[in-house]
Amino acid sequence: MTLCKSFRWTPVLALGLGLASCGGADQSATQLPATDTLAVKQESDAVVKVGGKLFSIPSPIQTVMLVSEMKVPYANGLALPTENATRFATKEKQALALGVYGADMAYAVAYKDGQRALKTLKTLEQLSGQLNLSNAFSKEEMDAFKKNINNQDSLLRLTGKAFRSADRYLKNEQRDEVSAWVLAGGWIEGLYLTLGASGDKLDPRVTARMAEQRRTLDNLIALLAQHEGSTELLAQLKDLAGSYAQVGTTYKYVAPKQDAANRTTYLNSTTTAQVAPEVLQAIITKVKAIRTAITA
Amino acid sequence: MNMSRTFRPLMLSAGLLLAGLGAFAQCDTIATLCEKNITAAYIPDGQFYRALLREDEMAEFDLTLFGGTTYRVAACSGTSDGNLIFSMYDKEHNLLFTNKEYNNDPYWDFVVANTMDVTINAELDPAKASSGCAVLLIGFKK
Repeated sequence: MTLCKSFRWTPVLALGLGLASCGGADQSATQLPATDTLAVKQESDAVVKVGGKLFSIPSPIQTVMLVSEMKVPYANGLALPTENATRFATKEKQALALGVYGADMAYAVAYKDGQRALKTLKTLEQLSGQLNLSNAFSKEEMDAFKKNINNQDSLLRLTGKAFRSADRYLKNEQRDEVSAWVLAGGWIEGLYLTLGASGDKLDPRVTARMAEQRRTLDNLIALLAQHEGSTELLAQLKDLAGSYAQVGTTYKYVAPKQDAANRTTYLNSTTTAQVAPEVLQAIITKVKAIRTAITA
Repeated sequence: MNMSRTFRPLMLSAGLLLAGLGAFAQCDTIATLCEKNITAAYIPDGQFYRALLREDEMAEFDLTLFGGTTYRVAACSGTSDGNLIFSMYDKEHNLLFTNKEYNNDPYWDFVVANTMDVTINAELDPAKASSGCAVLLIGFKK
């Protein structure tokens, strides 16, 4: 498939909550023709930003929801302390921290820790300011969070919406490297929280979820490699990928079942991951080391 | 004359920049319209997928779908439904779904039994659009 015939999407997850109000793109419904026509190649390049490869990273909300669903007890000390976030001096560190706190926010929300969620929200606002994303948290968004502080479902939806708005904002600003760092921070923290909350004896579901990250890790490495900086982080992630290369998977296709009346497709194929205990332990050790490094 | 030669590329660059900004705004508007398909029952995945497509171009992205989750995929282009064809394939390129068989339905749900890596391709329906911004949004629920 040639590049001119096929683009890959650029999903850049921005975990910093509320960035939508940073003065990003006008989201009001401006008038468009019923079928928009944009036939200028340069426009296409400006938006798609292919650069050859583009990536998708799972939402950290999903990652932390796994431990919540498993009824694993909440570990209040697991998330990164919200104090002293000003210690992150470089843009890379700040963006990584933004991602980390974004995942921490989802963790607090998943466990209905409203006070922690509010503290995290304020820290995210502070970091956003350091990243020149001033006015990141609008009064309306703050009010919406406070108003729904005891409504887990609403908060998770609000979080997801804010993530998407932030993603849109950062893409419009063409600050792809910031997006990539935020994304990396969120992904690592999601795994760290899942591992930390699970304790020493991992539930098979956690083991499986860890093993399922191989493709995501490859995408993340390729995404970060597109931008300058991240040398140390990239080296650590590549080292982690070395361990993931030892994770085997077996896939068996099963024909999906279509339910047109309910606009639903049931996907029943099976994927089985095989990960040796020593390989899993190496992965866990490396994930924790990366988390330590990015939050130092 | 020299001034003209100097300014011409600058003006061209400025023009392209403005065109790009216009395209960004258009994608944003389509995204806003498309968001109505990710209803309150679904948590947005936090990402915004978009691409400007022309004629036979195809946008492609890889996605890991986690088992035990229901995903809603919404695909939009322009201000009316049905301009975008999207298809999902597994890692062996088996076709799992295409909205082409369902009048280019702008959204579809996927109930995932086991975690699997998939690829989604999106292309404009040539009968309805020759070029435009394609937006894809995803939500999930347990």
